[in-house]
Amino acid sequence: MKVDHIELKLPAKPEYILVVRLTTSAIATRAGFGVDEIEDIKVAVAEAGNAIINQGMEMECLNFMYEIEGNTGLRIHITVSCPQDKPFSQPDVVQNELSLYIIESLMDEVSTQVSDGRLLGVTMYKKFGG
Amino acid sequence: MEGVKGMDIQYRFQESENTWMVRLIGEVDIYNAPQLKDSLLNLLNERQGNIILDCRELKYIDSTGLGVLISALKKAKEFNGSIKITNLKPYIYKIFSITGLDKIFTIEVQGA
Repeated sequence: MKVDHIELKLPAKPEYILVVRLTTSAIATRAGFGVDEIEDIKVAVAEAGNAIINQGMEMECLNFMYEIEGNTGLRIHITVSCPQDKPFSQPDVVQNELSLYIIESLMDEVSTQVSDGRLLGVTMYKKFGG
Repeated sequence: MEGVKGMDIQYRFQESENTWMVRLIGEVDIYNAPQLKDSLLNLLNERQGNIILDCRELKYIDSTGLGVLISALKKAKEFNGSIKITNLKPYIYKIFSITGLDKIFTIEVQGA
């Protein structure tokens, strides 16, 4: 299966989530999704960024890897780079649960990567015509 | 009119209805949600009224924005106030619906 890869690396700061939304919309459009699906994907990817940033830990950057999988769907991996030796404050658990609930409602598949209570990554998938 | 943070609010107090008429313009996200929270709570501290939130020019709101609206509703309910959301675009209403907030807020959707 032909897969097109696109990568985006941004400072893990709230002011860059706007860039994530715009880029995700453009990629979902390029992939061939409809208007409603593009909105779902945009919201879900931005919420993943929110959930990671909201943890109050010292982070360097957010990485977004998009994989347009032929004519089947779009897979997106969101990961964070952070210094492992830095402590982190208490995450906003309620806010993060809301983010993850929204993501699971909008996407067809969602998985999270958690280590020592830290959310370090989210992978999500939207199939065409799903 | 969306300001440097991508969001702006315009407001006036309607004495006859004891209600803040608030227009929310642009996109509310993790970056500017704290600014929105300060604005709404300051309004309710200034005058303990209801809020009608006109969202005809709201293009996007995320979970942090929803959290701000919940905080404002809690504040309003301390003095039996309410928050009504009007002219919400259908694709934004979807976020309220899937999070169950459509049962907490009174919402009018554009074109409904």
